[in-house]
Amino acid sequence: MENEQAIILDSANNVFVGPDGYFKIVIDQFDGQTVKAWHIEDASGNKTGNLAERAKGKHIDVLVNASNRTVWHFGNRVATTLIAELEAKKAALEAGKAAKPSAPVGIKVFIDGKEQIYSPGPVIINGTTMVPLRGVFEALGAKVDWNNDTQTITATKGAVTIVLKIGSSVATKNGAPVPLAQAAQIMKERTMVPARFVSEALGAVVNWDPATQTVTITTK
Amino acid sequence: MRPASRMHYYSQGLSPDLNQKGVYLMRKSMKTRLLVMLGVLCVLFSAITPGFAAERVLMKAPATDAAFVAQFSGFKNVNTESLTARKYGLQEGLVIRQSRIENGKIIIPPSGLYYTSRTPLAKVLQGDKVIILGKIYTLVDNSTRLDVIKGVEIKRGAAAPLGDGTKMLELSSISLDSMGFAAPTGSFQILKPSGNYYGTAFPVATDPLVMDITTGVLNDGTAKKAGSYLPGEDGHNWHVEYYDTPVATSGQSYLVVEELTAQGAKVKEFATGAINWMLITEKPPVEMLLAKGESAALGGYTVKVTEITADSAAVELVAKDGTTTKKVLGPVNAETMKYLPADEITRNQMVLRPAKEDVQVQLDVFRSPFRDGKVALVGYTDLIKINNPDKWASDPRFIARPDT
Repeated sequence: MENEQAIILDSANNVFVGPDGYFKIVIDQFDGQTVKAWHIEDASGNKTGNLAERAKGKHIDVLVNASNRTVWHFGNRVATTLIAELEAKKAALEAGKAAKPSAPVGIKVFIDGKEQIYSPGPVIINGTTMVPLRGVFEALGAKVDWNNDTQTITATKGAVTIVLKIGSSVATKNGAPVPLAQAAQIMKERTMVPARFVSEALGAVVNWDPATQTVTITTK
Repeated sequence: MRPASRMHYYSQGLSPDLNQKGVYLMRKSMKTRLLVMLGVLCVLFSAITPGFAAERVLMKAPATDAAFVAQFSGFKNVNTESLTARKYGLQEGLVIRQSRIENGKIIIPPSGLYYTSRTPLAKVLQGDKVIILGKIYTLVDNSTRLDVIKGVEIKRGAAAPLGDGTKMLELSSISLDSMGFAAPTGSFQILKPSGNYYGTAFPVATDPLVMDITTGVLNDGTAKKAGSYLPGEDGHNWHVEYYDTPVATSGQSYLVVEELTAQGAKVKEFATGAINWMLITEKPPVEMLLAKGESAALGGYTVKVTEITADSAAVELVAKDGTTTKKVLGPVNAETMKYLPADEITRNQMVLRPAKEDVQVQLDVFRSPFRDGKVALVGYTDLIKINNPDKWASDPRFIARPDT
């Protein structure tokens, strides 16, 4: 049994009642481009969960009841795709684990117009540009202390105190939490932090130019 | 094969009658006006719903990233039993396919919302059941046809329409090195309105290097004696004796290919069965065991048995207004039983319906139709006829397809 005419739904006209009221298709959230949430409801009011996730809201194709052979024939194809996607994700994760952080040749750091030379130099990890904390902070006039027992860095500049723990994605500035895009980590005995954190911590302006692979930090 | 567009249907209806000049001229003028009106309507229509062209999506599959609900209380899996005590399951399901977002709207195209009900076998004369929208119906009877195509060329991966165009014969694959054959072997499949393939594929080959079993080589067996052979022994180089056939069959369906190359095939003839209509009822069967001269009530009718022989019975259906439909049901013998329940001609010998087709009485063929000098009959009332296709009577927004 199938619909004779096209079914057209949006956020205002968000419910389509199936044949003889046997089930309903309900659009819960739609912004005109993406279906954020939708579900199917039976005549007794039982509901599926949100069905928008798989297709990321691009459409509302669905298969219901794997015991039905017609559905399962399609389900088999969908399952094959799903397995392939999961395997690809797993492979990507494993590749990500094995991969070393990129050591981009030519990432440059300028502080107030002066090029800085660090060893190790800046790297990109999961899309975040990481710079050596001590080198940058000291160049900005901060005092940096390292506590090996607690794996904690404390940086002070004037009235500002920054505390940062290795592996944590939250630092504190005068006791207030400051989230990090990427957790601080040690690389070749140097603590690497997101370049953007410098701006958050010490009030400097940080710019990243992907075309020239340049980090520019300005304090004035 | 896509159904013709709405415009195409309209234009098909405009054909002048050339026998009468006056009428022709009048119709020509009307045709011009209609075409202008149609053009205006099309512009208006396209302005109102610019992107919502209503292309039917029969035979299409859902997206591979479709949401998947393995089980949901609203769609039932039911175990049931036929009159002949055969147990089996019925399963409902739902597919939404080819939906899209366009101009700020979510569109499910015509035939994109597909409610489906499955049963492993649905045999008539045996009280088999089907489930539709949560209700259990008995499949009382159906009518079938054979759709035949001839002399059709199909390229690899392409398909040719069958019957009313809601099914296709697809040349799904051509294997160039199958089982050591130098010859191409092809596999055809029937694509159904649901978007699924019919359960059996049709494998064929026509290259002369493959020995053709339809010539009788294997039908009569070869000249080999029982035992084991080495290559070249007994005059047979069996290394190259690969057997295949340009004919493939399954049930009523058969395929005969004339030519098969790496690029495609020429189909000499292909035929497959289809359902024209089916009769179902939600009411339970009425079982009757009647002697000659006895009668029983069946809905608004009276069933009368006027004669009984060893393998047949003369039965009358008398309506309240006195209208009588009569028939000799049977014979039930070894010959007719060979073709039941599949053969429609034989099957029709076992059943009786009035012109209104609201009830059916039939011989209880698959149990004991004749016992103790009486005839066992099964009657069904409140019949619902579903043509293929048909509007679903209680909700005509939907098309029902018994053959899916």
